[in-house]
Amino acid sequence: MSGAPAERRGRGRIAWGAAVLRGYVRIGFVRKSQFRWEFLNQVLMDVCFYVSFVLTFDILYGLGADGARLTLAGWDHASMRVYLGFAFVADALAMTFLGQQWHFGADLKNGHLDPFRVKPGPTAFLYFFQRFSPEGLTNLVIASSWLAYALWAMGPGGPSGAQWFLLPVALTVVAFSQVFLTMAYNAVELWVLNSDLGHIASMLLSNLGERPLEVYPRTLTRVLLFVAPVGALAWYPSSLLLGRIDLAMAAGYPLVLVAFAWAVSRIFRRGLRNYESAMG
Amino acid sequence: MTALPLRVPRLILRSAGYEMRKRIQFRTGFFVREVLFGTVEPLIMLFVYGALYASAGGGDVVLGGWTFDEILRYVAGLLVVRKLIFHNRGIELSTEIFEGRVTKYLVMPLRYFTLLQGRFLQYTLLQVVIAGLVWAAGYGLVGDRWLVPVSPTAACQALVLVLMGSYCCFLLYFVINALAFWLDVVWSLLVMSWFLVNFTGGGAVPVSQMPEGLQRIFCALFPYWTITAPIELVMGRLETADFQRGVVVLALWLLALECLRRLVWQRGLARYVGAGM
Amino acid sequence: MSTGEPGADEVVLAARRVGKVFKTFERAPGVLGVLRNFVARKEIEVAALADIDLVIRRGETVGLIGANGAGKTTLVKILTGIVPASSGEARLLGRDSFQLTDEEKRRLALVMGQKSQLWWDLPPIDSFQLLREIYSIPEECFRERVAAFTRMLDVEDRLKIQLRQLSLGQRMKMEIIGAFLHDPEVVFLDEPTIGLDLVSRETIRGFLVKLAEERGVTFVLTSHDLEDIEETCRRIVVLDSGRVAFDGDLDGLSRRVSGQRAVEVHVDPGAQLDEARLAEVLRQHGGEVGSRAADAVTILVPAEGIRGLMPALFDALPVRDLSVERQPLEHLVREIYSSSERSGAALPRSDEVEST
Repeated sequence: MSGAPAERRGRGRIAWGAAVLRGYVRIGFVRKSQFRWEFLNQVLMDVCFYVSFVLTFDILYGLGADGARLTLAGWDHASMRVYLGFAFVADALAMTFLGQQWHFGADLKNGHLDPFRVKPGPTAFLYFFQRFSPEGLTNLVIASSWLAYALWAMGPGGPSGAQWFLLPVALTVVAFSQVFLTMAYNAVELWVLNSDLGHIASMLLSNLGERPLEVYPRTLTRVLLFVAPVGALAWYPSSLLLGRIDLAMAAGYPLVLVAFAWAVSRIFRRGLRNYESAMG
Repeated sequence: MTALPLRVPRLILRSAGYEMRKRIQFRTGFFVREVLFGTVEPLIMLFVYGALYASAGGGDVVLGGWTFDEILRYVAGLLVVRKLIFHNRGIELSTEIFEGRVTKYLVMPLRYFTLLQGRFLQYTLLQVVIAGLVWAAGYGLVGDRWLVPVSPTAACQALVLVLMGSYCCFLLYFVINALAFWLDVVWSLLVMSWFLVNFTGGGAVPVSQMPEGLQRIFCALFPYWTITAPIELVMGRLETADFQRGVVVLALWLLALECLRRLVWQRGLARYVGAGM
Repeated sequence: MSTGEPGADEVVLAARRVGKVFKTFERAPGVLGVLRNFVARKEIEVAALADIDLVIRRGETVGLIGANGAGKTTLVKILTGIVPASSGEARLLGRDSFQLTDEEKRRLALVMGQKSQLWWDLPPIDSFQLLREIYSIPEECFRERVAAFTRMLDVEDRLKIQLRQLSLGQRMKMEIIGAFLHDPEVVFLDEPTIGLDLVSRETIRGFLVKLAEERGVTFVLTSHDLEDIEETCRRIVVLDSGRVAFDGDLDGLSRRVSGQRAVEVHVDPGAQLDEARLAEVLRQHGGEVGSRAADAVTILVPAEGIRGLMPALFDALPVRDLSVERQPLEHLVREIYSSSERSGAALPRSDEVEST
């Protein structure tokens, strides 16, 4: 096979993916224009989520008597705000592009994966990205604003040049990891149908990842970094920007994530053999 | 024909039996949904508190009126109490309204709400057993550091408050689901309501560890009397007088939510057209 | 790999000894039964399909019929690559159905009568636009096809209304339009007319016949409604309990029944039939009772016996009304089912029947 056709096909595939994603975004806006209350409610819902998190940590850090400075395994209040910023951005990204994941278990049970199995293109891509959420996008703006505020509040003059350089890298890592973590959670359901195991795994691991990983026992921390790498969603990007990790970890960790993505893709495709659709 | 006063409880019992069968027919799903669900957040909370108390010097340090040992017992209580509170996934009314499936209930010689009460009864019965098992497992693992009731009376008082609060949640979720008559989709409202119930009830931080202003507001809401107050009763941090106050507050909330439920259901039905018309 | 240049004899679909087994659990009834299952349960295997052999060539229109649970939908799902076969081999467009490439999927379409593939809360035109992106349909072709298909199916004015607000018939027409937008070569239609009124059914049948003729589309249609099959398909495959009970062309099948007539006799309400006399008349003219209903009896009789039978029936029964028709296909299919049950094996192919 010559390189040129392969390259053309590669570009064609990316262009196709972008066009389908654009289509999903468009119908996301069309759908939401019909449910305006739901738009408002979902924005409010995520704001509630953010506020409850921020308030919880404000209360916890405020418990120190007479101005004693409390930390969470070395994370002070200011760096915790950055950590939360990445956690919010990761959550908003999932809500914006990957909202269909919450229906995967039911869709498997009811045979709703059928139409995606006969359409051209990767089943996982067509299925998981189908529910673009404009309110998620609104929340992404809110979450990003919080992240920007947290970075600015770290010190006078705002983020340094290095931090500006690393920010897009960190956000790319967050987005990439979120997609494959979503696939990983849901792949579980292909083996244990009707279990909600994917759902609970998602909630469990996302929740664990929303707190600094150093608060957990060392074994659990390693699991969250290398086996089910939710550490990529908030811990790695905030540690990278705040200079809390060494160069080897900073450069090597994305390779771990690429290996994870490859493994998840294989597992998901293998799991599709277990899909039995539904009678009738 | 069965007399009406007997017919309704019988229907509730029948419905409870049917719902029970539906709920436990998938073992893994049952374990994940009913046993694992609600255990994650309290455990994470414990790790976070562990790190926080360690940074404050560990040992018997008191933060916001709580020692770490008390927080551990609070988390144990949270694990048990969250098993008992009716979950917002327990009612699918909004989907049934959106897809026009309510129609089938409207032609039946019973009230739709009676079926849901059966579901609540079934949920509560099963969850009381599960909560008991969770408590026993925890006690077996950590012994006296686990939450042990100061007296049987305190345990009973706590159970009364939690179950009344759980019914408040049930009514609240019904009302929000019924808003689908107007809004079509209410999923986010349901999730939001759970955030609020959890946070204002003390699911993230005990309400009595919060700033004074928040405490004053949250004490007037039913979630506080459903989550934090029962645990503190069992721990001996609250007394019978507090229990009596809790019962009054919860009874008022029950009354208000029941009135709201009737109003929303009646008005909503008047708007209902079903799907595919 | 595809099987080469498209041609009339090109095999587009081939199933060889395809079987499908589903694993499930035996569930005892009642609360106690459920509790018992919760502790210990028995796994059972349900064979949905067994040893299915089927070859479909380009341009063929195949009707797949069978009772509920016969395995029609499962077979369609295996052939389209939605689920893998447990045994045997299913090939579509020259490749293992479960391993179809994107290029091959672009040549395929599936319509499911009981499952919407369009977005429930969107107007159909928005779903179509999305399908345009997924199937990379050129804008010009897309516009032409939407216009032509909506005109043919008489739903031009429904394109901008939410799918969930359309009637069942309109929804199904939109599903069919969505399936044909990318000009597929092979189309599977799983009960596309289920629950539809007569007018909608006829419109959809007309649409399918026209596309099959004009574009040479190969389609496989499953339906409970034999009229659908008679009017749209040339070949018929009867599935019974997961096995092929009959596979042959519809003309041959019709020839097989064309010598038969169905005489539907309506008698006076509440009248007592003289069964002995009726039996005697039927014996004399080679007829048999096909079915009975309140105040009516359907008699199947060879065409040559009809002339003698009619006056005899008037003599023997208190006839109020009477009609004569060719034997409906339903009776023959019922016969195929019962024959399959008796023999426990598939019936011979129609060409074999004709040669005997």
